[in-house]
This record gives sequence, structure tokens and C-alpha cells, in this order.
Amino acid sequence: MLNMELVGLVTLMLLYAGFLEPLGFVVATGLFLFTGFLVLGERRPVRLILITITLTGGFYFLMAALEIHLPQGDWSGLWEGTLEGVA
Amino acid sequence: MGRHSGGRSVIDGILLGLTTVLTFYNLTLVLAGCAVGTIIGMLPGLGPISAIALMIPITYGFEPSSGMILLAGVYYGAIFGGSTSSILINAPGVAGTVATAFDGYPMAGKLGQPGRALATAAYSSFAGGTLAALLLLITVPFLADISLSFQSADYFLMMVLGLSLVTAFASQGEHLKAMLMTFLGLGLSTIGTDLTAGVQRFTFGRMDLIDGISFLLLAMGTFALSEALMMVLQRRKAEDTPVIPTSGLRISKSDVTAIVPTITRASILGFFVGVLPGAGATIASFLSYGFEKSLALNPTPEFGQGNIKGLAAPEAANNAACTGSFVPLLTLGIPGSGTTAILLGALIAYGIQPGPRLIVDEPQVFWSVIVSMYIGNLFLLALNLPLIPYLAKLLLMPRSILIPLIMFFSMMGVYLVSFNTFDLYLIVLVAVSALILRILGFPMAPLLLGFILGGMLEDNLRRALIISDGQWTFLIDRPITVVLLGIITLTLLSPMIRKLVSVAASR
Repeated sequence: MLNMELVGLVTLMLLYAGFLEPLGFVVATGLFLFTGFLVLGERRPVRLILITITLTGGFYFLMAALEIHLPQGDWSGLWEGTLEGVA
Repeated sequence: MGRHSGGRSVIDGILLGLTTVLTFYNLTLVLAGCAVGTIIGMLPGLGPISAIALMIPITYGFEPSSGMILLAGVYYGAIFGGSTSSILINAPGVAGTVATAFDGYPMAGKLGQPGRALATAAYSSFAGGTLAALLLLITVPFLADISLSFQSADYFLMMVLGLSLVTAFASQGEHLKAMLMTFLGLGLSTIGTDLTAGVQRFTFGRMDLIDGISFLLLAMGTFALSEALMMVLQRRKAEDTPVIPTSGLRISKSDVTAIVPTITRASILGFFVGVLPGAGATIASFLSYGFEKSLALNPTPEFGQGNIKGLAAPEAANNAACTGSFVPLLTLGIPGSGTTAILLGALIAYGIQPGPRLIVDEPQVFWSVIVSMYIGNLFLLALNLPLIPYLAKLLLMPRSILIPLIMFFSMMGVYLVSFNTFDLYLIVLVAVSALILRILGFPMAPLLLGFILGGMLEDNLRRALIISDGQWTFLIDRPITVVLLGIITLTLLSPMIRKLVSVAASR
């Protein structure tokens, strides 16, 4: 019998691998951690949000301090269509 | 280094090591390594291999000696942290601290003395590590001296011996599985560009595989990440609520007098078991536990019920064995355990060629690692005695938070080295495969050892073959190779011989 938590987490890791560079570190990691905690049954909203933000932000600024460049993400493609529609 | 100047150069070496380690920067690294190692090692399921693998990406920008000092600190820290979780929640992070839980957990739980149990563990580890570091200091320079005369053929056979010992020391009935994992590791090490001929092997034409699989990725995938996935499958039991010590960690004078002889015996035993490739901390701790148990007459409380000697012996032995496992690494450049294998991988990544020439070519790295062992053990004691009651609260971290964290740090660790998302997919694949293999009872350490030794093994075999004009007779040309070949054969046959003997005995 397959363990659904395990399937969920493996899928989540594959999604993270795929979306890290397009979405950028901050958004991808935030979603990754938040969903990971959810999949494993963490339901307290304050805890969920607080831990996600502290970790993602903390790691991002630590790497920035060490001058290691994390993926910023490329959001230009997302807006292109919208702007064209407006124009 | 001649034999006559041996004594003087040891002192020179220690001084060199001291001047390297005793700078503010490096002392901070030792302290940081011990602290981080303790914390990671304490987390259930994560052992020293995971702890070191998680810390390696951080050390890439460092001087080699600073990097090794940090990683060595992480190593002792993780061992000590593992003992803490063995004692407080009966959940040993690694096999090496299983014996610690035999008497440590009852002492903390049933007898209600978590402070005494942790203090005994801390002092025993410290004594074990320090005594073993002393033995290391005596043996290593001499062994390095001898091993300078080794040739490629001897190296090749030494590595084969190391790998076969790992198989022979695998637990009962697991010999074949350990051997298969060693071969899998050797096979994985051939992926990438063959440096002698420049041919690409098993890259499937992908750019991402041209440099092969990084040892860090393999270590994280087979240890940290697959251990996290294993935790998903193992639900935590209700009885695992830790007993957090409230007061400071103290032991009485009578306790000290009771355990001093035990610690001395266990440290010496542990060191020499640790030197043997493949044996290591697990066997050392079980052996010394059994030894103390057989020596004790009418122990109170009984062994397994919280006896202080039953806790001190495995703790001193596993720390001494960890130090002992540095001997083959530093003298021959051949790691005898999964943990020293990953340290070897780190050395190679820093651009240092490990082996008998390490003491001559990189004396600073060599001696600072040895000196940092004393200092690391000292810091560990100073750090943990007051802080453990607070650090132990980490054990209360729910798995719903812990597991995603380990997943994140494993994936980021790999990504930050290559900045290639291919590696992220690959580590997930490695971790899932490792999880399946773990469930089927395959050990992971032989895989890592085979993988890291694979490149050097091939290199030395090729060199030996070139020297002997492509003739395999180099294997039986000199007495030393014949002797090594004989030991290898015996080692590989030993499981079968043991089985035959036990069958004959039962008839």
C-alpha cells in the first residue's frame, strides 16, 4: 500500500525542482515549505505562516550576506500577455 | 621524514597544528561545527553522515584546513548528539549509538536521572575521544612513514581489502547485500568522463552527467533525504516523549571512580576496532558493552536497567572508534567507514590529494585535523554540559516541521554547489531508490564507500597495469601483494567459513 504522505512529498520535491528557477527562490521555497508542512498534517495557521516566512526569508538573507545568488525568477513571461492585451 | 627525526617532527607537527587551530577564526569554526553537529545529530534519524553532507556546501569557500576543522567538529558533535537522542527518547540516530540506549534510556527514564545519564555520556565521550586522539598521534606518523613506500598495485589491493572488510563486517546475513551495494557504488563512480582516455561513460549524451555524479549528491540522497523519507513511513510512537533534564548535568565522585577503568578499557578497544576498515563505531560499542558486562560481578543496577558502566563503555568506545577511523584515512587515504568516506570526498573537493603524502605535502591540513580533535572534544564538553537541557527541547520538534526542513536543506545543499536543477531531479531519484533499498534491508554505507573509492581504485589499477605492461601478474609479483591478496580472499570467504563452523558445531 502506498503511503499518501510519501507520494505527496516526492511530488512536491519534483515540483520544487521544476519551479525553483522560473518562480524564483523566495516564492518557490515558500510554497514548498508551506505545502510540505500541510502534507504532514500541520494545521495551526500562525505556526505554518510564521515558520515558512522565517525560514525562507532567513535563508535568503543569509545567502545574500554570503554573496551567493539564489534564483530571482523570471516573471516577465507572465505579464507579457496581459500587457499586450491592455495595449 | 626519516625514522630518526620521527619524534622531533611529531612535536613540530603538533606546533604547526596548534598555530593553525588556535586562531580566533578556526576556533570559532570548531565551536560552530560542534554545535551544529550536536543539533543535527540529535534530530532523530539523522547521523554524522547526514550532518557532514549538509555542512559541506558551506565549507566550499574555506581554506582546506579550516574546512576540515569544521567538518571534524561536526563529526564529533553529531556522534554526541546521537547519544543524546538515544538516551532521552531511545531513538538512536545511527547504529553506533544503539548500545548507548541499552542502559542510557533506562537510566534517564526508569531511574529518572536524565542529567546523570547525559553527563556520564558527555564525560565518557570526551575521555574516549581524547585518549584515542593520543593514540592517533602516536600511530599515524609511523604508519604514514611506512605507507610512503607503497606502490600503485599495493594501493589497489589495499582498497579492495577495505571494501571487502566492509562486506565481511556487515551484520549477519547481510554480507551479500553489502557486497552488492559496494558494486553498485563502484558502478556509479564510473559515470562521467574517463580522465585517462577522455571517453564519456554512461552519460546518455547529457551535459549534466559529463562530470559524473557528485559525491555530495549521492551522500545527501542516500542519507539525509532518504532518512527523512524513511521518517515519513515510521510513525512516531507515543512513548517517545523525551525526558528533558531540568537541572544541570552532574555526576557524583563515586560514579567517576566507577567508570574510569571502564572508560580506559573501552577507549583502547574502541580505537583499535575503529582503525580496522569497515568495523567502526557500531562494532566497537557493542564489543565494549559485552566486555564490560562479562567483567562485572553482581552489578547494581543490572546491565540493561540503567547501569552506569553499561552507558560509559559504549560511549567511550564509539567516540574512540571514530577517532581511530581517521588512521586509515590520514595514512593511506583509504576511508574505512561511510563517515570518513565523505570526509575524503570533501578533501578531494578542496583539491587535496589524500594518501600517505598528505603529511608531507599538506602538513597543515594533516596536523590541524589531529589537533582539532583534542580541541573539538574539549569544546564539546564545555558546550554541552550547560546547554544540553535547552538543546534537548529540539527533540520536541514535530515531524511535520522537521521532515520538510531536511528536504529543503538537502535539496538546497546540492543546488548551491552546481546551480543546476538537473541535480535536484537526480537527488530525488537517488533518495527514492535509496528508500526502496533501505526497506529491503540493503545497507547504504557500502554504496557510498564504493562510490568514493571507485575513482582511486580504477586510477591505481590502471597505473599498476601500465607499469606491468598490461600484465595482471603485478598481483603476484611481490610478497606484499601476495599477502594482501591472501587476506582479501580470507575476508571474502569468512562469512562462509563462519557458517560452516557453526553448522559443524551444532551437529
